[in-house]
Amino acid sequence: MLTIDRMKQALRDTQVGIEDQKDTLTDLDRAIGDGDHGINMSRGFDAVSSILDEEYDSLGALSKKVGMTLMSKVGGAAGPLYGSAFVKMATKFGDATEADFDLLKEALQEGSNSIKARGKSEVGQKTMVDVWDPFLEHVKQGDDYKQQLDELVQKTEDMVATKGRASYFGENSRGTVDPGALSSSILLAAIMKEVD
Amino acid sequence: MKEMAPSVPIHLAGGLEDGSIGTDVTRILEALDQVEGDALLLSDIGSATMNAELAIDMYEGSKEVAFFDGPIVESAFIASVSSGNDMSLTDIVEQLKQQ
Repeated sequence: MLTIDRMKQALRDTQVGIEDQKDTLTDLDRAIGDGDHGINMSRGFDAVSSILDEEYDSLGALSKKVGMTLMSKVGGAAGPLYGSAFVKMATKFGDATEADFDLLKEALQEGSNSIKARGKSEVGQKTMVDVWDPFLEHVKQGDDYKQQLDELVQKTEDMVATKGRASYFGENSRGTVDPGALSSSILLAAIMKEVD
Repeated sequence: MKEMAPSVPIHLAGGLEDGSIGTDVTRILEALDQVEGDALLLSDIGSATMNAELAIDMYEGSKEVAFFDGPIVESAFIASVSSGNDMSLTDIVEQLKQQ
């Protein structure tokens, strides 16, 4: 069960995971973007960890606060994307104080849909959608979530970007893992770890 | 633009609170609130455009607000001159679409 405390733990783990991979995220983004993804995500999740000491009545209230924080603190396109995802997840969680696998998956699917809508993006464009969408389509309770996510991240390496800043690089975007896909896998792995 | 349309209020909402590069939807919403009449929102590329669309979706005030996704310098120039000539927000957006 994903309780409010376990969701907070997942967000703290995400902050640590982002910090560990900050330079990698920046290097990937420097290769096929504008080089700010590591810094932006680090700033955003630092801000998120500072709101975790507060009390929340529900998973919905916590998710909404996380979403609003990411929207205003991240800076790059990841801000409105991750921010919208959490705000949308909040509406699915509602007043629930804990979520089982199915409710979490439904909430994450809402989040994924909002990322697609906000980014006007679909699967196969070498973006974070290439992690969120296929992961949620195939995942079953008890799977090796981390391994599935890692594989999806790796798959973006051979894709050509047709959306986002990387699309300006065209064919040259092939050969580099998408940084948004990597940061998404860090977040999703941290959340999934807390549901079983 | 201030020379061509001195009466038209223009608010900048780029950058983050701490001055670093990027856009922050709350700053965009604040800028929309600062405009007394209807407001037109313009952006350059990437996250600025995404945040502009988000701000329009999140805006809860009573004014008409519109976002136009086009070349920012040209659009801002056309819009400010037209606004100074009392053209309505709807007509300004229509005019920008024709460009």
